Amino acid sequence: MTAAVSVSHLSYTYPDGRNAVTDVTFTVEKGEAVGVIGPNGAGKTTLFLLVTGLLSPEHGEITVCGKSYTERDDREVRRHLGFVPHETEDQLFSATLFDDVAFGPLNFGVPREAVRARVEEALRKVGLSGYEERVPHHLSSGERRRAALATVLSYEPDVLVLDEPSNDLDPRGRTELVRFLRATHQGRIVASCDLEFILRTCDRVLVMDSGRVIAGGTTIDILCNRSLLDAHGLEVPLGLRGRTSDQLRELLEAEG
Amino acid sequence: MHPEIDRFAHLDSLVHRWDPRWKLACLFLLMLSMGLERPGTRDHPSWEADLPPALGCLGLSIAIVLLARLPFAVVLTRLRGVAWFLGIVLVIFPLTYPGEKIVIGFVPVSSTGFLVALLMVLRAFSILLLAIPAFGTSRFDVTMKALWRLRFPAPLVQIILFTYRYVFVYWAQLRRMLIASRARGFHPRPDLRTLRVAGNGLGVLLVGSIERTQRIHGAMKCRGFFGTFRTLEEFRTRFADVALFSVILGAGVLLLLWRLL
Amino acid sequence: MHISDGVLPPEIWLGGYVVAGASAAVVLRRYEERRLPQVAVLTSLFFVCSLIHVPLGGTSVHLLLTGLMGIVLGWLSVPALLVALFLQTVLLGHGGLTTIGVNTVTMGAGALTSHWIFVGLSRGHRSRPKALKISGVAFSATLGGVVVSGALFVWVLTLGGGSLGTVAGIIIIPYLAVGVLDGLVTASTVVFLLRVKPELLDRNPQPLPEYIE
Repeated sequence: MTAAVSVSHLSYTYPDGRNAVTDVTFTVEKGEAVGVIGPNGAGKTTLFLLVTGLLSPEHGEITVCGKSYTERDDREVRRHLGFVPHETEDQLFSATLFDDVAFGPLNFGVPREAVRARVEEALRKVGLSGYEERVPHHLSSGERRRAALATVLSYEPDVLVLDEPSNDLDPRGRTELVRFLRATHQGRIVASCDLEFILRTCDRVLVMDSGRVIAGGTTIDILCNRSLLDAHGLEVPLGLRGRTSDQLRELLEAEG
Repeated sequence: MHPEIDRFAHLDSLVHRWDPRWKLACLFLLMLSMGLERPGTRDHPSWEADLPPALGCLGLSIAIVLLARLPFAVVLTRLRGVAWFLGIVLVIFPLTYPGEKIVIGFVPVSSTGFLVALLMVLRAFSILLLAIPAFGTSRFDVTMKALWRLRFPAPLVQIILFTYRYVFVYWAQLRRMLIASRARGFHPRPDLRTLRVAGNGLGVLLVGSIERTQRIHGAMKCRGFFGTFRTLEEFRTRFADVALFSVILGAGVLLLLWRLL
Repeated sequence: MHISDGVLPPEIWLGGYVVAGASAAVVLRRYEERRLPQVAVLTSLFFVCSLIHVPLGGTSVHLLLTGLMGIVLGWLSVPALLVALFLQTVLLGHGGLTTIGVNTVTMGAGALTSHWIFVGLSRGHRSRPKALKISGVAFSATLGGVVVSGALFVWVLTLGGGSLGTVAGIIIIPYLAVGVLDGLVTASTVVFLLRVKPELLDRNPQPLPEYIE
């Protein structure tokens, strides 16, 4: 079965030498939820830029649903990924939310009659029903973050690629996002400094540091590995400290 | 100052309900017609022939503003922008216009000059007053899409929409920068340090904007952008749209003929 | 400097529409549609920055920033100014609707002049020029642009006949003073850019850096 995202021996260095990604290999199967954690400067964002084809690697390969990024029309590849960057002002560039959320479907060839329905559905999923005519600069930062997610949900990609999706969200908003992600069938790659959020939304986790993938495993195992986290500048959230893997598993099951 | 033209777009009036394409076409043509003048007005203006039609134009513009139920006080503040320029015109013209002068007090004043200046001011206000009914009665993006339907070049419309979107982002960013600098005790003074701070601030914004466009372009590519903008906005013509167009433009044409003859 | 509606004879402002429209069209045709957001974001920045009140001699003025626009945007200053003037008139009421074309031409000519002076004076430097030298170049470029804009402004108004020439003469003096201030600010900014992102000042066929692909 073709993996949703397959990355092998990926390497990239910026022209000024900073924030490299070195020899990264991993696979995300269809429907899988993978987290990427690491200290600042570990290369998470660079990795995302490579996975979404916004940077070309120096070495290595990326395939999305079996296809590679080529020089020409990349739309066949890009329609499988839903990238939500860290900065929402860069994602919401249209005059109204409707235009922003309709942007993807219109470009990916969804028939015009169907686009409106897709927009309404996407906004409903993120709890912004009725916000079609709103202008981005009138939204709160939490609403903007949810709107940014809607802009990719509308074209129904196979894999969501989310860079710090729980930023700007209040605890209620974060819980709703968690609930939404757990309910969706879409695969996802999530980068976040919020380890509790990663625990609640990702089954598997990759630990990055200095451009390399240091470790990988189930989220529970990794988060219980205190020494591994300490060695790479990560901290277990207060509420999870001292718990065993079984206790964490129970916590997650209780959440549903 | 609030750069939001469409603060009043949610109100209701005949003008608000007017199809934006018809509205813009009509008011633009009206504006053009108001800018036309009888040849010779500048050299030999006549109080009887030129002043009444000019007042008529102003009256028509005011009527349209009232028809749009726009708060008149706000509309007047928009005229403030050119008031100083026109004020200078109103003062200078009577004093320096060539030709015969009458004496008021000790000052020789040209009544011809005053009339020419007055006509200019009336013309200017008539035209400017139309801007708000034209652009302030629909949401800005709707107005722009209407312009596009009227064959306004697509690249220009796209740039305008994009520019408008990021005006608010930069407005907020600039305010934050100014507040932050003031909070650190910085006061603008005519000295070298202020100059350096200003240059750095502007430079930071510029560099940041280049990086921002990189990121926006990336976000657009990821959502399948391949060069062409698309929009779903639909416009539908009703009889009322055509009727209002004819009535208002008709009035404008009549005024124009009145002026020319 | 903005010329208001109503003062110029129709031949002039209609002609302004034609010249400004044609110039903008010619410039934009050379740029692929996908790069328009780049122009727009920069236009937005310049537009917002030109709204800052700067206290000067008892009153407050706005910087024109046409010098900096010319230096950074080159030919793209023309459509950028067209858009900025449109927004300024429509959003704020500064300027005229019928005179958008004329104002674009006068200010655009100034921006282009600044661009050419800057390119001309900074050419021939293989290595990075010194800060003092580049600030002098930027100041001269800005001032040159301001003078050209001002001259065109006076000329156009004089064509309008009557005492418009005198009006222009009165307005031009504070305008030139603002131009000097503009030159100083532009010089300071260019020094910063030289330090932080010199590619922005490199003049080659593409005035704006290509996206990292």
